[in-house]
Amino acid sequence: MSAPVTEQRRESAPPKPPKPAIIDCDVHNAVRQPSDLHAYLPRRWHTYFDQGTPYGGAGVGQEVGARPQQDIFRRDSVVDGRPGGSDLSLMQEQLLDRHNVSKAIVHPVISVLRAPKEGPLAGAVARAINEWMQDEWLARDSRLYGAISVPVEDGVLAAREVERAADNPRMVKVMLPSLTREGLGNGKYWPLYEAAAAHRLPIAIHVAGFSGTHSATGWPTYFVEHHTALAQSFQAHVVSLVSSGVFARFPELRIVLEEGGLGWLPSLLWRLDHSWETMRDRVPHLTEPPSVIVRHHFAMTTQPLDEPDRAHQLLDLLQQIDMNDRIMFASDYPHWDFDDPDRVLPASVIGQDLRRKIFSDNAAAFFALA
Amino acid sequence: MTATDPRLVDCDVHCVPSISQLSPFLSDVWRDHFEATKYAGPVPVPLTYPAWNPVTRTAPEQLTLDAIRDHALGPASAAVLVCYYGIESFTHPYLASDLATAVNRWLQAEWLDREPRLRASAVLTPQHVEFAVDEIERIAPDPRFVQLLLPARSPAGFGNQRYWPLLRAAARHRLPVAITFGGGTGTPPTPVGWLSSYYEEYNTAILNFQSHILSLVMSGIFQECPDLRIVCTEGGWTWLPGFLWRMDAEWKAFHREVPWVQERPSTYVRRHFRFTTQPFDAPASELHLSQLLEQIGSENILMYGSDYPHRYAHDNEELLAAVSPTHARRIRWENACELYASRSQLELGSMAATAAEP
Repeated sequence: MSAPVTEQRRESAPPKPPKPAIIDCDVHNAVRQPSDLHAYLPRRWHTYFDQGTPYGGAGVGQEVGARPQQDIFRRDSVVDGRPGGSDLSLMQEQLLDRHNVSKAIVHPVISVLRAPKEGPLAGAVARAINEWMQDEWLARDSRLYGAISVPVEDGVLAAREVERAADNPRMVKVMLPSLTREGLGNGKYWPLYEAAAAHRLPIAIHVAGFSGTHSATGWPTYFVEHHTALAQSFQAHVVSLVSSGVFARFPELRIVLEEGGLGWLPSLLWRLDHSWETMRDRVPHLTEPPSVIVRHHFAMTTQPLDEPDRAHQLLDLLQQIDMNDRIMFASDYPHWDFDDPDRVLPASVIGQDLRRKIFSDNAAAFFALA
Repeated sequence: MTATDPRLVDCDVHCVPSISQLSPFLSDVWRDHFEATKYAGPVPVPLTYPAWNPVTRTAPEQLTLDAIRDHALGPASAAVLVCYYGIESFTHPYLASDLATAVNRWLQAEWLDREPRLRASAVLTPQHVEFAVDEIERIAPDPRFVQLLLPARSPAGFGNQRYWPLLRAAARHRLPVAITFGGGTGTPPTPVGWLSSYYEEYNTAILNFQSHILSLVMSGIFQECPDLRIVCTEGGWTWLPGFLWRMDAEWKAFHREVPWVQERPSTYVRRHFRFTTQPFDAPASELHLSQLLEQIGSENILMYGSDYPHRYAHDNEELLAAVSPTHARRIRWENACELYASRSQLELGSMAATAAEP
């Protein structure tokens, strides 16, 4: 008797309202195999590129700790052994359609790591990736936007690639790895910033890369140390960039920190401000408090979202950061630590207005997405 | 009542010897060598505390026993000396260990023997762990050495296996290990190399501390040495909430790699780590400070440290005024007395009477 009633109720229930459209600022596409780039790479580089760059960065030869798994993908994104993010239709199904992502900024972070960071091959690979991005991704789904790949450790070459790729209006940022050889305020990177600022392209600093050490005390012993310490490189870059005076030189320059978390930011700003007051004569080019510079020039993506002990502490954190216009949702699809937009930062916790800002308005404004 | 409570333990007061002051405590070979080469002292000391900087200036006249009696032991009933001497920067193992011994003997003769209200941190050679263990065994019978001192800049996190003999010896003698600001090693002090200015080095110094905590917690040393205690000296502490949240979340994801870490990392930190209060990277508002204290979630981890003679933008009084009377008491002396009781009792009663006199 009761079963039909339930059935009837189900039928007469109003259809679920469509999910509001959201913007996802950090999605990773991938090549199926490296040779996919041959079509975009001058023939003279094919062999070198296929052989990989086993010592293309300090520490590449190290096995840090015991990795929890050999790849970094969520299980359902890997089909027939192909890397997660290499299949557009699967990305459409698992991310864009399912979560009503109306705009997603994609970048093949793994493919770039495979490339060298400087020199002519690095320049050629970055260009190949950027052309592959346009032909095989942006041209095939109007919801997708791209991040420009560059040979990060060669500022001049990187600037040249930005100049070239910036002609494509669907390229909306420049992607740098967080583990670089120098703090990103170093003058060697400034040509890149000049080009990016001239084209109003934000610089994204994203977890990845190789450097002399992965932590502030040399090489970590365990993978969990390495992974936790990734937040350190972001702190170092904020200090380095702010201290360098690069924002006075290029007032249009904007930085978005991706996958570095947020929890370290308030205290770092307090420290930067207090020590600026007492050491101002050593950084005379800093004419504003560092926290003012950060709030003016920086933005952050959400994933991995900080997990305070109590729910209200997340709101306290956002209040301390005081950058509600600059925090932007990222899912990190198809990586294992994907943040589900239907579950993180619910309106019941952060309120409808902030939810809309973080999931759509902030990114639309920051990246000037039409 | 608390406002008039004169009991105060200052866990971070600087002293540093000149080469000529150390001379009587050095072995002949190094005394002769320093005289012959006109050696002026370890380079990392002025690099860590540059004289141009009003915050870190450390002038000889500020570091006499009389000056410390006046300035540090004026307000405080007892104080723990921190003598950063750049021992870790010497690659020569015998020179380094002889210097460490000389500094510790100098601390005994010139400070501890002359002022009963003082305690000291013993310097070590972290780059030569066997010699460091020898030095721990040598100083351990003197209970006035209440902790060991290691610099925050380091080629590896202190949880790395290479340091376990040192940590085991520390735990065996119930000597807390204090990690202090600065240091001189060949390893870049950030994950992205060497930065460009002291301002940048100062601001990223917190990363060295975060690295050591992470390394120590994940290493499992606290399973083996449950008595081991670590003091973070001059590393700041307002960064703790975000750091602990992150470390707990990462442990949740990766705990299978480190099965000996059986509790949340933040639980180990609250049990095994202490933090001296200066520099106080004060929140931008009283509201944010109260949020921060709630997030830290323990009244047992902060210990008053003046960092004399260094002076920062925000002083300890600002912090003490913002916390409850019981928390202020814990910061002012209780946490320190409990921590150092494993070595020697700090006599605050009689000292309190002294301090109360004009």
